Amino acid sequence: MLDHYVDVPGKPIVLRVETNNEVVELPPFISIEKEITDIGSYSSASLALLKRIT
Amino acid sequence: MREAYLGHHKFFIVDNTTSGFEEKMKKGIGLISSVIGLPTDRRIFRKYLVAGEVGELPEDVKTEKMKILETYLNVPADELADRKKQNITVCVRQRSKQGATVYNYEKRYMVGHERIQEMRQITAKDYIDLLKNKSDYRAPLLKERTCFVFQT
Repeated sequence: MLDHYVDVPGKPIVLRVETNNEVVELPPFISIEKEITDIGSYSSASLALLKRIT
Repeated sequence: MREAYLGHHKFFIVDNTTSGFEEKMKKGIGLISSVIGLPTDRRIFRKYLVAGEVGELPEDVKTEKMKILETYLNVPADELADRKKQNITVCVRQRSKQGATVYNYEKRYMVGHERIQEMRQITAKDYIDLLKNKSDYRAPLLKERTCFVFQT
């Protein structure tokens, strides 16, 4: 699924992938900048904090 | 059938990439367990930052769009006192699609290196009641979500 954070500075778009399979295959029609699974600053909770202070 | 449920927050696919029927049954039981709140096998979850804007998806990819308002709540004191749980966040979510709205309560935390997510559906009245305890530190987030299934 694609989540578009429309009211956060920079309006980031995040692709979320959930699977039971061992290998994660990404859709070729979406251009990925980087993986952010383990980057806390991109969590929704952090974005909510960022929005509050900006 | 798949298209009818696309976008539902409990929509899962048990595909045929498993090594056999027993494995497929195990996956199915695991997903049902997760829906009713029992511990399950881990699912792989990944997040990626998309580069630039996303244009129209290919015509053969069926999509469902919805709006999600996510409001963080102050974490209850008894949760904060539980030393096993780290980085606890609690939020309520309003999901609207084609005039229909559902509400969820979600708690996320870490136990060691494991990420735990507990989610349950709540009524509109519960949602309004819980909003009285909204976080002083985090602003509500509005997301436009596009759901689709991608299989190679």
